[in-house]
Amino acid sequence: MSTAHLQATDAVMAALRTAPAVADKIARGRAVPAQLTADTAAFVRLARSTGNSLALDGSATTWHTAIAIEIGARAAAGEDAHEAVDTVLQAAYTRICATEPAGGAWEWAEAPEIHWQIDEADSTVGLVTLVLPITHITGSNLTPFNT
Amino acid sequence: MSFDQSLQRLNAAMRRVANAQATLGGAPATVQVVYDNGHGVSLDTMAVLRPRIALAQADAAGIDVESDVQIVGGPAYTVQTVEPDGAGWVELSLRLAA
Repeated sequence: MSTAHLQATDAVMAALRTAPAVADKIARGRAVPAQLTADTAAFVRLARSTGNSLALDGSATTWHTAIAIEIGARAAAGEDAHEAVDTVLQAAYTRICATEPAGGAWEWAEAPEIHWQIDEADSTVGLVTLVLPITHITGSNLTPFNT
Repeated sequence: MSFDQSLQRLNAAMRRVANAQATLGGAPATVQVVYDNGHGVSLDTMAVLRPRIALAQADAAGIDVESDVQIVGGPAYTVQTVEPDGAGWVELSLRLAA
């Protein structure tokens, strides 16, 4: 069984991919950028995780993990990048908020963050990084503690 | 041969390595340009094109930011930046025309 951290990203990707998918390309990591044929993309990745051991033997640890969803959108010629990426951001955030945490193994925590970046190419590219904090408990093998 | 004469000869020779023709600023005359669509990656996530043309500065008289560039047989662009090299050659970065 994979770690609770990876399972959390699985759940996020599954939510984003549920039809209709929120973006043309949805993947974990970002080793391969969205090609010119894709106008929108969402890349899910683990950003960081800090733990708090509940037992000295390490059999249970509470984790505060940040999952980042990087959402890219290509604006049409003459279009504003904020506007272009806004639709995908809204769809992704709405989808995440409607997603039930998986079996109590993790739950959405407070203080999500949104960061915007813009780049100029032949058309403008907007990139939003949505950082979602989750809280989850694992055993000593990093699998969800209650499974 | 003076340095200026050498530059003029070099810039004239560079016209011969052009790979495209373009019209600039809506003028009907075509000029020789070195055109590169500049495939790259934006913000580590999205493949993009960063098109540029390079041409003799003498052929780019009156061209400035927001001027129109039409690649003959290719896309229509708007000039984003004008980057003269100070020696008679100029590069223009382009964005797709709205």
